[in-house]
Amino acid sequence: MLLLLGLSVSGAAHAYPFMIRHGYTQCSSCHTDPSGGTFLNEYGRAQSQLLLSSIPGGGDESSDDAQGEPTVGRLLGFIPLPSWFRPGGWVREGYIWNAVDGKIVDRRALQMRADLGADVKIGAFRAAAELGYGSPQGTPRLAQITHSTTGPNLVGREFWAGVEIFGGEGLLRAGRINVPFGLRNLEHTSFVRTATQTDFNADQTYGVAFAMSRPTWRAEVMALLGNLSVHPDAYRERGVSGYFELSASPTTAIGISALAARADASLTTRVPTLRQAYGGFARVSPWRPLVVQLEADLVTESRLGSGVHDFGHAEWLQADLEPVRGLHLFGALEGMKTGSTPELQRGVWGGLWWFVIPHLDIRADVVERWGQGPATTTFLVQLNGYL
Amino acid sequence: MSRAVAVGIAGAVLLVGGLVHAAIASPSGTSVVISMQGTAGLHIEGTTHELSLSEHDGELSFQVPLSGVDTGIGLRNRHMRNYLDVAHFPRAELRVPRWSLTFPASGKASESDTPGILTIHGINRPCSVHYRAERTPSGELRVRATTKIDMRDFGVEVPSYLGVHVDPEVAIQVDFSLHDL
Repeated sequence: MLLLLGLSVSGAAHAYPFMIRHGYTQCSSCHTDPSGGTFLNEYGRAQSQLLLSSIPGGGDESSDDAQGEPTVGRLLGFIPLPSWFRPGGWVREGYIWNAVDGKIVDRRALQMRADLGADVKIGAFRAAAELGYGSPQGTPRLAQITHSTTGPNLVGREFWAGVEIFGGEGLLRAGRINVPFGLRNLEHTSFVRTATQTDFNADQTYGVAFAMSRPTWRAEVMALLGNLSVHPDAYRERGVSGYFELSASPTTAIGISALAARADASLTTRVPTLRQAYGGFARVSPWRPLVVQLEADLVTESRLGSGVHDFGHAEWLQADLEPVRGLHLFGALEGMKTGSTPELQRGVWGGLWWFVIPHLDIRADVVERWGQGPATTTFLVQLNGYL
Repeated sequence: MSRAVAVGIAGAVLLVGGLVHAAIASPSGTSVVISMQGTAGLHIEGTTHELSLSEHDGELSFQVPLSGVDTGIGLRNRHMRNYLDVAHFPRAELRVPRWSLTFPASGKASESDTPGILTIHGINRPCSVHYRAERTPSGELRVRATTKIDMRDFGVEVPSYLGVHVDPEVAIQVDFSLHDL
């Protein structure tokens, strides 16, 4: 399996904001989603091979004159593909241990992802779609297509079609799309992602989005038309979300985000609610091995007609150190206070992430959280493979 | 006697050569940044810290070895060297008439445009260079010069790789300091 994955074409990865260490402030250089995400374009597949993995390669890539041409455009490394069609597949499996006050209370295997997908680019037309398997315990409910409560489900996180405009710098699209807000970090359970409900594990929603990517800035705004995986319709949020990010230099970017969405019955309050989030975020790589990411958001939930407003906030400060290519040491501090979690919660993340070979990475996380009830510790190991 | 003549001739040659081709103290704090833009907001910077400066027949000649330009990715460096045909044209050169430059007095700064001749890929093209020079009280001259070129004017093929294209317009920024000029 490892050999197969190693020989295969790089079809997709995830959003890795730390790629700013290589001067990539723009997600759209490598990703089909202009704000970053699962699908990679051909150029992104090449960068995945050239920059992410320990093997092949290693050492200082800037002085690696013998660096070979990546094998993009060939499925499994040898089946030629047309440049307009890029299939992909993803498998993420993990094992989790949860401890309360230092005592293990839960441990189990996690089926995190098993998806197939493809993206298409024909002239200015663009489309992308993925379909996956969700185990009975591992179905992301907000992304499910079928609705079995006891068996496995079909899962569809992302599918959209659109058209490039402004010479490819703009993309207008419609479908189920990642909500544009803040950092698109992989840690979908981080407080900033859960407080703003903008992770890209399951928080995608249906809508129409317009994105622009210029050398010194990028932005996306999306009309949120409701998540059709959620029933009944009263629970679906409708509104608008967007961000603007400015590149102060090839290794420094700073942005702002805003979201406002209304539901007749919020999933958290069960009454008509207007949810808003506003914040700022930044990525900076002062030294190529080091990337620091920061996000801070204010969140409000207004129960319409009752005069009740819950105010809160969420913060994320993460450092990613890559001492040798492919091997990442990371740590993060986070905080959150929302209406539904009135106590200030704090968390510390630490871990190791190794991009072993192209298309395969392993990761171990330790997350300590406290501030609401007893302190909890989570240990998570995961194996991620993608075609 | 013959030795003295030989030494004298050699000295004369060196003296005359020195008048027409004066070596100027090597620039310090050198940074040459080549900026390109491309598809979907792509921004690429190539950087080198190699810059030599000499004076010849009233012209200042700035030379940059192109093999040392680093874009941050080894394969991209190799592609760039191929596009520039560095094996045959290893240096970029800018020649600027000395008379066209304004050298500020101690503690002062000057900013202006100057014409020059830029040689890349073995092709000479006139260009306009914007510069700002500042003389510190200690006598050090700090210079920032910028220009923009179209790589097609120099016979360089516009790079394209896996669906990503680079605009033919290239911005060049050079920073350096001198103690003797």
